[in-house]
Amino acid sequence: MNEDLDRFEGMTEDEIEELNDSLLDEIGKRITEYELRTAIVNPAKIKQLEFVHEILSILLEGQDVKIAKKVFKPFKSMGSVSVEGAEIKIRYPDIFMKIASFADNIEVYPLVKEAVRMTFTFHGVTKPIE
Amino acid sequence: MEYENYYEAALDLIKESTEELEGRMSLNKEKLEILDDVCTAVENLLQILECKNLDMSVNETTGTFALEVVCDEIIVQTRTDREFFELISIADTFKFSKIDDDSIRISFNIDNMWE
Repeated sequence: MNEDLDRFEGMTEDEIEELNDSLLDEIGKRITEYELRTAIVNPAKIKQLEFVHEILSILLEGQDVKIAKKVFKPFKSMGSVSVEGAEIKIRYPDIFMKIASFADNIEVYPLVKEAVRMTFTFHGVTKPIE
Repeated sequence: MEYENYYEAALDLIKESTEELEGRMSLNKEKLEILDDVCTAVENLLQILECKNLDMSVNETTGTFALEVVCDEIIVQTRTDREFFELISIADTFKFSKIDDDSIRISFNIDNMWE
């Protein structure tokens, strides 16, 4: 984190903005290039995503939460399982740890409505043909 | 709240609550033994998390002791960020809840601290 901030040292606000814009342009370009490449579905990854969705449905049974899965979104190589609720309580941390290992990352953040969202993100749902 | 020594502060709260619960519930010494590990794991988690506040609470009805971390959000890289998993592997349960538009609370619970 500090190394990231060091990059901005001595720069004016306009220069920082310019740098951010160029980074965003570069990321956008790479994503577009990737999206245009022919890719094949990775069935193992999709099975893992569906498994996580199923286990979360069991783990959170009885709680007032919404569980949703997305495949090929926001990009064709990605998928996610998310849970929304005012409170998300995990009763079996050992099972949670096992399913978490299938995802690449887990994020939890507040929503504008009175809820939090927990998202399990999966990369590599599709693989480009080299 | 800021704690210089999280474990000592937790012990103080447990001692105080044990006195208040006397006659209704008694302290579970087996659970007390894991407190040091849980507090260390919380401190380790704080190294990867931008924590806004740290707190602890007692549910006198269920006998649960909770260590609570308040932060903007939590992002865990499942293959590298071991700190979060280390902590949940010791806690009995954990939960996420919203505090306001910019903060969430993560509660790591030690159930049946008093029985």
